[in-house]
Amino acid sequence: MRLEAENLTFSYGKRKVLDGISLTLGEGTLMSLLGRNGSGKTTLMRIILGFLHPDSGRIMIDGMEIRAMPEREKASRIAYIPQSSSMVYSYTVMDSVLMGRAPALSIFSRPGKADREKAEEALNMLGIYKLKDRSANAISGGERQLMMIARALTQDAGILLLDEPTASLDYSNQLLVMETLGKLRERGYAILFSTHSPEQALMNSSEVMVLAGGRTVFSGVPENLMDGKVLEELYSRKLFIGSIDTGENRRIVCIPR
Amino acid sequence: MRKLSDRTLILSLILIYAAVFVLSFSSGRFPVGPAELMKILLSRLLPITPDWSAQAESVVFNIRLPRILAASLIGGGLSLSGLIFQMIFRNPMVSPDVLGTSTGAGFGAALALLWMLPSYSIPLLAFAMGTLAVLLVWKIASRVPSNQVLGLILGGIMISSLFQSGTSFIKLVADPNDELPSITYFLMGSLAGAGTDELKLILLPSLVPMIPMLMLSWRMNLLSLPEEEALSLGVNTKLIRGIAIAAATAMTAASVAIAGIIGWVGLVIPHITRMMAGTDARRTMPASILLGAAFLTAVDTVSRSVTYSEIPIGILTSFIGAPFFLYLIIREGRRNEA
Repeated sequence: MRLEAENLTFSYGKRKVLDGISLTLGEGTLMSLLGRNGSGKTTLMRIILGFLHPDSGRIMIDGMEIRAMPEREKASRIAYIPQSSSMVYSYTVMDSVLMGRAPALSIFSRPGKADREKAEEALNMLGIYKLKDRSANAISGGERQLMMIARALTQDAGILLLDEPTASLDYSNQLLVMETLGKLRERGYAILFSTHSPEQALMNSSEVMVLAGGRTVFSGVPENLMDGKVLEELYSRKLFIGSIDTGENRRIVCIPR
Repeated sequence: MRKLSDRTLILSLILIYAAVFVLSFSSGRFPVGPAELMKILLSRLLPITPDWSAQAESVVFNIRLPRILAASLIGGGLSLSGLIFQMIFRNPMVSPDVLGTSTGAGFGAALALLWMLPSYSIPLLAFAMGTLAVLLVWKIASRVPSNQVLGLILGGIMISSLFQSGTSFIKLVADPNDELPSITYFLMGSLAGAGTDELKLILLPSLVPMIPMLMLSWRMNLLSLPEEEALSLGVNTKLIRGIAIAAATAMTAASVAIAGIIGWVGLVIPHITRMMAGTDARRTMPASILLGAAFLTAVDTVSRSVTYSEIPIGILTSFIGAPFFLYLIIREGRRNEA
C-alpha cells in the first residue's frame, strides 16, 4: 500500500500549524518524523488519519483520495497506534487485539473463529501470545505497545502510523519496539512514526522527515543527516553525529558536543 | 479468579432471577406458594382443573404478576441504561441519575400529569425531557475537555437541579386537589401503582431498546476506547453513540413514567455486573439486565411486604446504593494510592 500526502496546509485559527507538507510512504518504508514540540508532527498524523481536515492539499491511498473513502475502508488500510492508550475498562489482551477486526465486520456482527485466529497469529508474531488472557491494564508499557501493534496487524492495514511509540518506555522496551518495527518493514508494511530521539531516527528508519514550524526542513535518507547541519539548527545545539562499529553492527550515535 | 463461561454466567443469573420471581409471588399479604403459582400460571396454557380460590387467581394475574413484571422491566432497563451511559461516556461513575436523565424524565412526566394529557404521553414527554437533559450535560462536558469526568458530573448536578426546580414549579401551580397528589405520589419512586395498564404502557419502550443494544454489544466495547482510537478502527462513533443514548434514555423514561425516580440502580448494578462478568459488553449487557431485574424485583418485594404500609422503593434503593457508592469511592482511592 502506498500513502501520498500532497501540499497539506492546516491552521488553528490564525496560527499556521502545517505549511505545504508532502510525503510519500511506500511499501517497506519506515519513515521517522522528527521535530521539536509543537512542530506539527501530531497534527500531521491527525490529518492523515482524518481526525482533522486540512485547509488545502490532499491525501491518497493507492491513488484513491482518502476523504471520499468510507470510514471502515480507510480503517482497513491505515492503522493508528496512539502514544498512550488508557482504557477505563480493562479488556483482556486478546479482546483488545480482536478489536482490530472492527473494520472488517458489519455494525451488528461480532468476531468469529477466523477473526480469533487472525488475532492469535498477530500475538504469536509479536511474541506476546502468552499474555492473551491478561488484563490489558496489567501488562508493562512495552507489552502494551506490542499489543497495540498486534491490534494494528489484526486490522489488516498495510500502513501503520505510530505517535511516539517509545515515549515513556524503558530502554529495553524502546529497543524491542524499534526492532519490531524494523521486522514489519521487512514484511512490506509502510510505517510512519514520530519520535523525539534523533538517534532512533538515524539508526532505525529508512527515511527521515524533519519538521520545523510546520514546514519540512529535511526529507530523505538518514545518511544525509550525518553532517549534522539540519539537526544542529533544529535543536539549536552543537552535535556530534558519528557511526561506531560495535563489532556486530554499525551504530549511529548523536550526542551534544 | 477464573471467569465463568458465558453460558454458566447467563444461566446462573437466569436461575437467580427465576428464584426471586417465584419468591416474590409468595411474599405479601396474600401469599401464593410456588406449586400453586405454577399451576395458576400454567392454567392459562394447559387445561388444569382449578383447585385454588378465585381470589388467589385474581391476586396472581391482576396484582402480583403485572407488578413483578414491571419491577423486572424497570430494574433491567435502568441497569442496562446505566451500563450504556458508563460505556459511552467512558466513566464508571455516571448513571441515568447522575447525568440528569431521570430528573429530566421526571419533569417531562410531571408536565404530562399537569396538562392532564393521555397516559401514553407520559413516557413520551419523559423521553423527550430525559434526552434533552442528557444532551445538555454532554454539551457542558465537551466544553471541559481537560476533565470530562468532572464536566459530566458537575454538568449532571446542574442540569438535574434545573429540572428539579422545574418539577417543583409544576407542583406549585398544580391543582392541589387533583393534580398535585398524583404528581407527588408519582415522583416518590414507587411501584405501588403498577398494574396491567401501566405494564402495557412501558412494555415496548423498555424491551425494544434492549434488542439493538444487545446486537451492538461488541461495538459498544469499541466505543469505550478513547475517541480517536475508536475512530481509527472505523467505528461510526456518532451513530452508535446516538443509538445508545436514545436506547438508554428510552428505558430510563419508561421506568420514570410509571414508577417515578428510582435512584442508584443504574449506578450500582453495572458495577456489580462488571465484578462478576468482566468488561466485555457481550457478557455485561445481558448480565446487567438479568441482575437488575432480579435486584429490583427483590427490593420491591421487601418494600411491599416488610411493613404494613408500603415503603417507597426509591428509599430502599438509596439505602442500599449510597453506602455501596461510598465503598466504590474508597476502593478507587485505595487503588490509586497503590
